[in-house]
Amino acid sequence: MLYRDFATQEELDAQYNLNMIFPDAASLYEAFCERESENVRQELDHSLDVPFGPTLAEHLDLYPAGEKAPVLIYVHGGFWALRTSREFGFVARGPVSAGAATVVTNYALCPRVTVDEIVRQTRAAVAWVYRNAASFGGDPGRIHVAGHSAGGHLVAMLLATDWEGEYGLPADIVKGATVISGLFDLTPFPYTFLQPKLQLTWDQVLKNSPILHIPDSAPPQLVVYGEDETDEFKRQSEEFFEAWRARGLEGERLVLPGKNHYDVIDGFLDAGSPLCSAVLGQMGLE
Amino acid sequence: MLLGIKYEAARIGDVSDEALAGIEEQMKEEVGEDWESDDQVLRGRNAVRREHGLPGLGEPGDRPSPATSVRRPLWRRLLGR
Repeated sequence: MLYRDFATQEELDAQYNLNMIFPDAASLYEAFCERESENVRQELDHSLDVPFGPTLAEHLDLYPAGEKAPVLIYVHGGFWALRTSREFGFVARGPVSAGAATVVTNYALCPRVTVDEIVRQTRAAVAWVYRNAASFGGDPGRIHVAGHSAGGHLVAMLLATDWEGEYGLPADIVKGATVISGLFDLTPFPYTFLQPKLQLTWDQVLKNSPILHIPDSAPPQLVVYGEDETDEFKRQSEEFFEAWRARGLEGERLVLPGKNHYDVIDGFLDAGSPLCSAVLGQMGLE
Repeated sequence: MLLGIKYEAARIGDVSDEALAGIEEQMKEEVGEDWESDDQVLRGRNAVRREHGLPGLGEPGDRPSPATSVRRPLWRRLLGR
């Protein structure tokens, strides 16, 4: 076996290769993201491409929500190799309408950089938001994080960060987290269609699999996935949630009926949707 | 509210009776025996129901339709409007 009960790359790809599973969905999703994000930018104040680090990809998009607003940092997905922050501006609509400033982070993509570097950049974005929250009306004492797919992985890695020791920041800089259809065990990916892009070494797999780095203390976490996802995506969330709870950490699991890997994040467009209500509730914005 | 979302999502979704019973137990522990009428739980449940085109709980459509000759509100009857 290559991994668990999977004997071949084809079997693993059938679980993770979304282009193969939903042949038309990727382009429809891309068009949806671009259209809705453009619409949201017509509606909301925003600042695009704000640099948070020295490299060209280290920038983020800000969607303010007034003074002293709690902040939701959103980390986009795309198997660490696709997409930019610009395509996910739409996630700001629901949170901003409820009073949460929203920050969508960008990061360099594989194979130009490694997953290690993407994790570092995402941590740097959070550190920047903490130090600069006042510049866009955000409250640095109320930072929450959310991410989808590979972004869910990156959010889980944020929770496994030594903020005090490595960044000189409060250990509890993140007050709450939502991981949506995340990838928490990277072990299968060297055997999949992704490997030419990710170029994962075993050292990187071990270092960057959040399920192997559940912290001793952490903020409440919401683990979300769609009912119509593949079994492997479901398993990734279920096992991570179980490991999280087994460590005695606070968390809830939410399975959204009728949602697949793509449309599971649509709810961010509406503050009253189940997804957005749950995230806002965690932020104290019910 | 999250519990309400979680409960209704599980009810609409394809989960086992055992899993649903587990969430009901959690409701009883965290909200109380009268969780079914708790406002926050109802808000959460209705968020899910709305997304699936279902009538809200405690709202028109969730109960038998009122008689067609709807009685005018008291203030209208009193003021003759």
